[in-house]
Amino acid sequence: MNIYLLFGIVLCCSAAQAEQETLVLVDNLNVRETHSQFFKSLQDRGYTLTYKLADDANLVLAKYGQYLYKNLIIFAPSVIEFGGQIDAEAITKFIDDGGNLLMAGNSVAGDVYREIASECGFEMDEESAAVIDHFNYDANDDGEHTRIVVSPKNLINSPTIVGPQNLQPLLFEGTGLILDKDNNLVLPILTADSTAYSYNPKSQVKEYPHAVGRKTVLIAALQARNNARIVFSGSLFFFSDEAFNSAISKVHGDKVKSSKSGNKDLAVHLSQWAFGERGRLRVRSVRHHRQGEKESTTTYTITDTVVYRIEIEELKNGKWQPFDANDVQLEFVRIDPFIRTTLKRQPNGAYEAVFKVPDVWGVYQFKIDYDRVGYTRLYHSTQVSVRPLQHTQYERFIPSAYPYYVSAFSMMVGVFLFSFVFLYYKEDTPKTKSE
Amino acid sequence: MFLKALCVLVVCLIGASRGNILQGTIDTNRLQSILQDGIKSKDITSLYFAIKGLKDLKVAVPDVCQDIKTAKYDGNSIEQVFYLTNAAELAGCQNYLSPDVLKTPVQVLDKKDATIPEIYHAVYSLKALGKGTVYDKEDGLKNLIQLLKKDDSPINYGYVFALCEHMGCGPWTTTHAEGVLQAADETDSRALSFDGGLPATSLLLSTILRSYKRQQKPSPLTETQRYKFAEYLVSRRSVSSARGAALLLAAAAALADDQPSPISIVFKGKKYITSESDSVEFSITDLLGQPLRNLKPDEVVAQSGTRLADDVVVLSKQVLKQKAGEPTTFVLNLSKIKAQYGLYKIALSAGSKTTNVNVAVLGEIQVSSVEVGVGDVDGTTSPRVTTVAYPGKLPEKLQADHMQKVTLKFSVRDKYNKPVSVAQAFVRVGTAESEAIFVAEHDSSKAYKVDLNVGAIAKHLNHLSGTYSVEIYLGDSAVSNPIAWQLGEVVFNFGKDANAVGEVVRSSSRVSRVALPDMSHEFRAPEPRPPRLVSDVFAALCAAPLLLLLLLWARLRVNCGLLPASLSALLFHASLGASLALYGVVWLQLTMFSAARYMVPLGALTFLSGHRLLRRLVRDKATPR
Repeated sequence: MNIYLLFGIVLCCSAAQAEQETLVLVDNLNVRETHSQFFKSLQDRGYTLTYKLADDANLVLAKYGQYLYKNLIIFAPSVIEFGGQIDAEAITKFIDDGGNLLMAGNSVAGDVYREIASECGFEMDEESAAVIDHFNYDANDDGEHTRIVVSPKNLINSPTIVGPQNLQPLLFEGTGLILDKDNNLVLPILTADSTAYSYNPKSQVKEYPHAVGRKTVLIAALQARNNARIVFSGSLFFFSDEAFNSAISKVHGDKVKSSKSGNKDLAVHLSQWAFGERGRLRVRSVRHHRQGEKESTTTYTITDTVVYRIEIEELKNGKWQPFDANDVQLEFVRIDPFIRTTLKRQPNGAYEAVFKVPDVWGVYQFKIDYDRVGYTRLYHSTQVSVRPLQHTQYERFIPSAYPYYVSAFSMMVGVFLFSFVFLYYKEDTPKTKSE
Repeated sequence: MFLKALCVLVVCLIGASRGNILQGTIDTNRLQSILQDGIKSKDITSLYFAIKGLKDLKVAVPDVCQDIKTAKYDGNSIEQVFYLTNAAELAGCQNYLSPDVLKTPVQVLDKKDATIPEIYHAVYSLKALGKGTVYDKEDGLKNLIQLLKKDDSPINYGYVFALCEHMGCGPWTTTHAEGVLQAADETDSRALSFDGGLPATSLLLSTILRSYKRQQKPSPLTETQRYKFAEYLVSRRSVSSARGAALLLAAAAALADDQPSPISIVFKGKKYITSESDSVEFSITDLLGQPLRNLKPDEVVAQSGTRLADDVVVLSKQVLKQKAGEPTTFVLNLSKIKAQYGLYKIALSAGSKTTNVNVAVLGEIQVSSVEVGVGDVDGTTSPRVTTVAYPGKLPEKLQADHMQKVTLKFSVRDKYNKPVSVAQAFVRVGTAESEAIFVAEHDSSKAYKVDLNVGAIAKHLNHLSGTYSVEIYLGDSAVSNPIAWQLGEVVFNFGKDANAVGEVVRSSSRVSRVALPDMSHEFRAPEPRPPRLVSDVFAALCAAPLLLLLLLWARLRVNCGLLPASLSALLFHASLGASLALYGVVWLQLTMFSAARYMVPLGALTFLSGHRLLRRLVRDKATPR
C-alpha cells in the first residue's frame, strides 16, 4: 500500500517536472551565451533547459511514445536540416500532441523554418529578405535600415500575451511574416509600421514585396485547438542580450530615444505565455438547479427559473486562482441558442446566471464557450432535458372556465338526483275501476 | 602529431583567406560599473570576482573587510572557502578571517580522491592565507597527471596550469599548452572557445599566456587563434554578472597583452556621410579599447573604395588622419564621393591587417510636385489632373468610382536636381484600420507613376466605399531624409461590388473571439380571456337547467316511493355520490393517478351494490304484493 502511495507521489512529481522540461535547439552553443539573459529568465522561473545543436545526430523529442520535453525552443536559423529524429513533421506532431514551441529566425533562415512556419499558419518571407523601414531605424543600424525600432503601440491588444505594460520601443532585425487572414487561430503579436516592407536589402524593389506596411508581421503566435502555443519571431536578434541591453535612438520621425529597449520585458512575457504560465483557464465546478432548491437536476420544466453557477480558475504565478472577467457568457442551446446571457460575478468568485427556461421543450445544453485572445479556450457543456408541463401543473381555477365547471357539476348533481327518481319513482297507480 | 600539424595548417589557411579583424571591443567602463555593483553584494562569490576584476582594472577597491567578515559562506564547500580567502587576500584583510577556514583546505588535500578543481581551490586558499608550501612539485605534478587521465576536460587543464604556476612546473605547461589550444571548439569558423564557456576560456588563456611570459617564450597562439579567441570574448561582452565581468576582463587583458594583439576597427559615431559632414571616424584599438602599441599612424590606410551598386572604384590608398589628442581615433575624409549617394565598400588596413567596412553616402532627396489624375479606365476621356506641390495637400476630396482610375505621377530628384531612383517609392491608400500599399514604378527617365484602378483595388480595401487618405513614402538606405507625404483624401466608390458602409462581411467560418450580443427567449403570450362578469353570467346560465329540472320535478310531484330500506341501496347511493364527489376533489387538488386509486374500490363497491339493488328492485316488481 505504502509502496503504491510512494509510487504515486513520484509520478506526480515527475509530471510536475515534465511541465518545465525544455529543449533548446541552437546553431552553435555560443547562442547560449549571446542570449544568456533570456535563458536565465527561463531558468529562474524553474525551466530545465537542455541545449542541443540543431543538427545533433542524436536528437529525440519522444521516447517510447512519451515526450521528453514539454516545450521546444528553436534558435537555429542557419540549420539546413535537423538532426536525429527531428524534422518538420516531428515538430508538427509535437504541437499536435500539445507541446509548446518558441521559434526565432532571421533573414538567412532556411527551408526547414519555412516548412514549420507554414505548418503553423504563418508564411515566412523569402530567404535573405529582411524587414526594412527607412523611417524607423535605429542609430546603430548597419546602413541597410534593417534594425528597426517598433513602437509598442503596434503590439496586439492582449495583456495576457504581451504583459500589462509595454512602453519602451522594441528593436527588431529579421525577416517578416505573413499571416493568412482567414486563419483565426493565428495572432499578429507585433506588426511593423505602414512605412516598412520586407525585401532583400541588397537589391532594388522590382517586384511587389511579399509583406508591406502593417501586413508585415514581426512576431506571430498561434494557439492551436488543443491549446498548444506557438510563438514565431522573425528575429533571433530580438531575444539577444545585445537587443535587451541596447539603448534606442530613432534617426527619423519622432526621434524616439530610450535608454533601454522593451525587448526583455516582451520576450519574457511572450515566453511566459508560450509555455503556459499565463492565460490558462479551467473549470473548477459547475452547478445548476431550480431557483429556491438545493438539489441539482437533469430535468427542467418549461418556464422554470434556473440558477446556473460555474467556477472558473486562472493560472497565476503557478497557482490556480479565481478568474476575473466580466464577459463570460452562458448559452442555453437546443441546436440553436435560445438564451445567451452574461454571467454575473459573485463575491465568492463564482459566476452565476438566473434565467427562465424557454417554453419550448426538448433536449438542451448549458454551454460555456469562452474563447478570448490570449486565453486557452474554455468549453463546457451540460445536457439537460426540458419537458412540458405535467397535467397537474396547469392552472386549475380559470375564471373564464366557470361555465364549464358549473355545467359539469350541475350534470353530476343531476345524475345523482336522477338516479333516485329513475329507480324509485312510484307511479300513482290509476285507480282501478273497482275502486 | 601529423594530424595536428595538418589542422594548424588548415586553420591558418582559413584565417589567412578571411583576413578578419575585430568588429568590436570590450567596454571596460561598463564592466567596471558591473564590478562596482558587485562589490556591494553580500554573496562571497560575487564579492571575490568584483574585487578581482577591479584589481585587474587597477581601480581602487573600497574597504570591504567588514563585508568579507560578515559574508555568508558554506565552510564545507572548498570553492566558497577559496573565494573567501582570496577575496580577503586581494583586499588585504586576512586578519579578519577566523582560523576555522583552514580546516577545509587541509582536509581536501589529505583526501585520497580529491578532484583537480578541489586541489586547485585548496592550494590557493592556503596560499592566500600565507601557507603556500603545501603542495610540492614532484609528487604533486605526478598526481595531477594521473587525475588528468581520468578527466581531461579543458578546465581541468586550466587548473593544472594554474597549480603549475604555484609549484613552478612552468615547462610542463608550455609543453602541453599547444595541445590544449588545439582542443578549443570553433563556432561558425569565426570564434574559438573552450568547452565550459567563459570560465574555462578565461582560466586557460590567462594561465597559458602568463606561463609563457614568465618563461620568456614566444606566445603559443597563432594570429588566427588570437583573433578567434578575441572574437569569442567580444561576443560575450554583454555579460551582466560580476563573475562574468571579472572572467571576461582577465581573459581580454591576457589576450590584449599578448603582442601583436588583435586589432579592432569600429566606427566611432556615424557610419554615413552627408554633404554637410563628409568624413567618418574609426576607432582602431586593441581588444580592450586601448591604443595599439606598435601601430604607426601612417599605417592606417583606406586601400580602396568601391560603390556596391556598380563596382566602380572611387578611391585608393588614402591615408587616414589621426585625430589630435585622441590616439585611437582616425578620420577618413570622403569629400570626393559625397555627391554620389549609395553604399560604398572600403577596404581599410591597419598595419598588416585589412578589413572591409561599408559606408553609406547619404544624399537628400526632394520631390517637387505630384500630378494626380482621375480618368476613365478605358481612356476615352482625358483625365482631370490636379498638381500638388510638396508638402501641400489636395485642395479638395477627389471622387473616383469603379469605372475610373487614379494616376499619380512624380519624380524624385537629388539635391542637384538630378532625377534619381529610390528603393522605396510606395503609395499608401488607407484608413486608420485598413490599408493597401502600391509600389510606384519608374520608367527610363526615372519618372514614377502609379495607376490605381479603382475597380481592381476594391478587394484590397474590403470593398468598402468611403474616404481614404493617400500618402507617398519615399525612402532608401542611402537617403538622409525619407519623405512621408500626406497627399490628401480620395473618395472611392466601388459601385455594385461595394459593401454597405460600415459593414464588413466576414466569412461564416470566422469564430468570434469577443463577447456576443445577449439573447433572450420570447415567451408565447397567454390568450386573451373574457371579463369575469361574462363568465359569471354564463356560469349562472349553465346552472339554470338543473334548477329548472328540480322545479319541474316539483311540479310533477316526483316521489321515491319504491325506495327499499336495504343496506345495498344505501351503499349504492353513497358510493355513487362519493364517486361524483371524487371528481370534485380531483378538480380541487388531486392528480389523475391518485384519483384513479380512489376510484377503483369506489367503482367496485358501486358495481356490486348497484347490482344487488337492481336485482332487488326487479324481484320486488315481479312479486307484487
